[in-house]
Formats: sequence, structure tokens, C-alpha cells
Amino acid sequence: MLRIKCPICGLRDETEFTYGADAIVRRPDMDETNPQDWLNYVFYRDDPKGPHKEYWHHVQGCRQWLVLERNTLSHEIGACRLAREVPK
Amino acid sequence: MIEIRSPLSSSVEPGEYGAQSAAKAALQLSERAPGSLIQIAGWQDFATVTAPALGALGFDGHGNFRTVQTAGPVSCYRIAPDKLLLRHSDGGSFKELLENLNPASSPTLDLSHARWLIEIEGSEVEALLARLASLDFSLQEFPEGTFAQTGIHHVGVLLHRVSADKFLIFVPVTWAESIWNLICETAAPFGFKVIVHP
Repeated sequence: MLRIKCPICGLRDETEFTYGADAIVRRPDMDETNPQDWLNYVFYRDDPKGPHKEYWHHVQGCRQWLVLERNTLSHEIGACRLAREVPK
Repeated sequence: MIEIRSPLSSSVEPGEYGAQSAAKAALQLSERAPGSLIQIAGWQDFATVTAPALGALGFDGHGNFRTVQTAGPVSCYRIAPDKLLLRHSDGGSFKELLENLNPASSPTLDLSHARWLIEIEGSEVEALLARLASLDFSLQEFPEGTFAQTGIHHVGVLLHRVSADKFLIFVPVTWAESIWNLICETAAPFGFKVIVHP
């Protein structure tokens, strides 16, 4: 069982959360005209092995969106912050 | 105003159920309407724009995400950074609060019809809840006057410890019967008594 330390609610079981998306992906500038950049943004994702950042939603708690550091290899859970407080 | 009716009216039957000791049932279950329940939401300036309204109700600030603030019959739960849940336990009006809030910056949502309260009391309340939600319900980790939002049977609920052996559970009305039945089933090994409030 993964346990995630929500900055609002404290340490909780993963079952209270829902995975959202890759938190590394950045949208191209709105005036970007290269279709490849938009293709990459909309459809392509890396499948990293090791430390990674992900969006999670604490759906059965405070209902906040979070940015969670998770190791995809070991499942080790790192820092967890409110998404609104993470610089984009 | 629309009449508030119990979603558990067909489920709650007073009596004693499950294992019974010679002394008394280890748990008492009951249900009641939450009274007036209102949610205030906002944005980054939430604390500033809602402070006067909360002050008028007798609250000094927004509190934290664990402690239930109380001012007379009103309880305040800070359920998210920009969101508060206020309960008027005797069903009183939040008219004064609403007059002090700008709906353009602090929208409110009346949840009086959307939540129901299940009360659990007794010597085995911690043991029972530990079978329903994955939190530490010991008095040390979950003291009196604190609350937590979690899931029971994958339904989002709010748990409020009002005393060492009593919890209130705020459940969505549409799931109240399922949660009630699950609680009764889980409480059976301890023995429980269902009480109907007058």
C-alpha cells in the first residue's frame, strides 16, 4: 500500500487518492506553430524509470490537486505539495 | 422551504443488535439531520474576504485543517485551503453570515439537504471505526474536537470526534443508507444499540 502525505490531511492511504496526470508535461506557448510540439504535448508521454512527478487528486479528503514525487521503480514516495504552490 | 427527511427512515429500527454482553451494548448508533450546513469557497484571497463574516459569527480566523472551531451552536470545519464547512446544529439561519459575504468572491452552497449525520458512541467506537476507515482513531492521534475527511466504502465522509467515545459522521444523503448498513454490519461483533432521537 502506498501512503501519501497530503499537505492538508496528513498521511493517508493511496486508496483515498486518484492519479491525475504526468506533472512534468508543459503546454507549449499558445502561439507555438510547430505541430510536432503540440503532438508531443497532447499525445506523447515518457515512461520514466525512477524519480518522477505526478498529479494526484485527494478525492476522498480535501479534494486538492497535489504534485507528488514518486519513484516508478521502487514506489518510494517523496515530497507532496499542493499543485497550486508548485511553480509552473 | 423544502422539508428535510431522513434518508434512513426505512433503515433505522430502534433496538439491540449483534453480540450483546450482560452489561450493555458496546456501541450506540443514531442518526440526525445536520441542522443548517453551508459551504463557503473562494480563491487566493479567501482568508481576507471571509474574515469579517466569520468574525461576526464569533470565530477568530479560519483555524486549521484538523481542529473544529465552535462558537455557540455553530461549528466551523476548514476542509480545504479555500473552503469552509459551517454547521448550525440547531438549524438556525446563516442570514448574518451571508450578509457579510460577497457572493462574487465567496460563493456559498447550502448543503443542509445534501448531508446526513450518523452518530456512533461507545467504548468500542475506535475499534469499530478502524474497521471502516484507514485512520488512527486513538485518542492521542485523533483527539476530541478534531475532524478528518476520509473514505468509508469509497464514499467521502467527514468524521468529527466530539468526545472520547463519540464520533459524528457526515455522509452524503445519497449514500447514507449504504454507509448505515455497512456500519451496522461492522458493529455486529461488538454489539450495538440503535437509538432514535425524539
